[in-house]
Formats: sequence, C-alpha cells, structure tokens
Amino acid sequence: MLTDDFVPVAIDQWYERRQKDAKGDYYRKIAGQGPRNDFKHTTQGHYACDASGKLLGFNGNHIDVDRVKKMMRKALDDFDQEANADVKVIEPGTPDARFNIVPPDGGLIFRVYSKILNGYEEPKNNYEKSFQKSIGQDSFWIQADEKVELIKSVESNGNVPAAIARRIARFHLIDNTRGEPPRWTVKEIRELSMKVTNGVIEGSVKLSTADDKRGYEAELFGRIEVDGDEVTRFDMVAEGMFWGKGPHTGSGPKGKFPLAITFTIVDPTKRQNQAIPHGAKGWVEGYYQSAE
Amino acid sequence: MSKLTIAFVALLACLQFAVLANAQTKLTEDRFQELMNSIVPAEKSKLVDWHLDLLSAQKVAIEQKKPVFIWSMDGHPLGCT
Repeated sequence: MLTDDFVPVAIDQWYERRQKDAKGDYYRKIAGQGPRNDFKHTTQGHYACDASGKLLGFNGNHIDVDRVKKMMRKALDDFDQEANADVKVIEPGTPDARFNIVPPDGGLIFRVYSKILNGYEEPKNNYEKSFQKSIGQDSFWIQADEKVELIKSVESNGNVPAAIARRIARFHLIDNTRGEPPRWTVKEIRELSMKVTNGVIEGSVKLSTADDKRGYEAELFGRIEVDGDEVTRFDMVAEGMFWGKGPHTGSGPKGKFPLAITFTIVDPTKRQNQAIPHGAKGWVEGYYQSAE
Repeated sequence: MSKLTIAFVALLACLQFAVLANAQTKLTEDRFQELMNSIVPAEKSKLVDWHLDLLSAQKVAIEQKKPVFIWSMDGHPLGCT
C-alpha cells in the first residue's frame, strides 16, 4: 500500500517546521491541520496528504502497524484525484540555507548501522520486542579534501586522518538504536587509534563522560581499497561494550552491553543514501570540524 | 595429588579460560565479516524507495496522481534511529 498507493517521503521535521522557504511553508500547511500544530515543538508523526497540502490523515508516532494502515486506508478513501488535477508543482525558490544541508560534493558517503548484540531482559510486549531488535542507522560524510588525505594514509600505511577518526568517534560511535542519542565531546575521547596497514584498518577507542555514567570501549577492524583517486571500498566495524543512556535513549540493557557499529560506502547518487548525518543536525560546520 | 599440584592445575585452567575469553572478544577478520553480514541490511530488503525531499514528493504525487505519505520524526527516520 505504501509504495503502490502513496508517494512515501521520510523527513526530520526539526528542519521543515523551522525553515523559511517554500518547503517549510508546504510542511507547515500540512502539519498545521493536525494536532501537533505548535511549530515550536515537535510535529513528528505519520501524515497523509494530497499534493495541495490538504491533510488526509494523521497518526502519532505509533509503531502499531494496524493503526497506521487504518489511517492510510481512510486517507485513500478520502483522496479526491479529480480535485488534485489542477494542483501546481511547488517550486523550491531560494532554499533557507540554514536547513538545506547537502552531501559533500566529491566526498564519500557511508551508511552506518548499529545493533545491540545482547543484554536485554525478556521483553514484556511487542513494543519492547521491536525496540530490542532494532538496528540504528545514520549517514557518515567525508569531504573531498579529506578523501584525498585518506587515500594518502592508505598508500603510506599511516593513521587514518585525525579529523576523520574524530568524526567517527564523536558522532558515530553512539547507541542510536532507540532514539536520538547524545554525541561525544572532544574531551570524552579518552583514547583513539585508527591505522591502515596494507588495506586493513585496525584500531581501538575509549569514550566516556566525565562522571563515567556513559561510555563505549571498542575495537575497530575494517578493509579499505583505493583505485587511483577513488576509495572503492571502506567497510569497518566497531565492536565493544557500551554503558549508559541519553535523554532520548532510555530502556536499554542494564549495565554494560555489547554494541556493534558498521560503516560501509554507498552510492551517493541514490536518494536514500543522502540523509543528513544526525551529528550534522543544525550545524554541519561543527560536524566537519569535529575537533571543537 | 598434592595441594600445590591442584592449585597449579587450577591456575592453568584459569589462564586457559582467560585466553579463550579474550580470543572470543578479539575483533578478527572473520568476526568483522560476520558482523557486516548480520547488521548491514541487504539491498533487497530496502523495499521502500523513500523520498527525502518533501517538494520532490509533491511533484511526483501530481505526476502519479497519488497522495503523499510523510514519515516525520525527531531525527531523520533514515539517519538517526
């Protein structure tokens, strides 16, 4: 139903509800008809609408598939195809630069996946069960000039450039399996090594907050291959013990638990691969600088 | 068997266990491949070709005469959780 009868779009509404441009106007028109219409607060949920922006259905952020399907079926019943025949395409105009972050031209784009390997107690219901099996996902971006430095490090059997290693540590060695996680500060990087030897990446990392209530100690292993000016393969895994939680990442296993995080290069032209890294939210410059 | 011999055998057993336990947590090439294969979703499992841009979805909705379904979250659904 989702792919056959609808045009599916996935967004982080943190951007759309703020941005002052045609895209933001269109989103606020749709969400403004629903119950979450105070744009100073979250408007997250599932929306069905027509091309004009008329709301056809809303569902709070439920993972109850039957409730979502029910909303979608009603939206299809209410959808008036004839009334939409004269709707015009909305031109983007001048995008609000603060909220239109694009992938780095000539750089590298990765998908990052994370999974808690065990440590959970027996789930009490399907809601908990689905959380316990969840795989976190994110994007990781490397800029064009950083790609050049990375290739040099491969050719010289050297360390992965510090800016790249720090970005991985600060923004991607996180437990994002249950919600928006806190990032690491520079000071919270206690140890970090990432070296390439004959195409093999090996390293280790120790991350922890000052009070040691949250941390991650892991080993890193991966494979990197270069062909001329291009990185043709960069697969890497971090595996180790994580502890603690953030304001939006409760309900994890108690104590220390094993967390694995994978990195793999993806085709930058596929639109699904162009999601903005969570660490770049609101400040892509800070994401790139990584040392601040 | 003397108490000293028993203690020595016990110590050896503990050391062997420690070495094995350490070997199990060492991130090897095989373990790396195992984790990549088990965690990274297979290409065929990515069935929904989500748009990431609301206005491009609006344009396609007009072309295909379909309604739009918006998965709207705090944190990008494909880039956070």
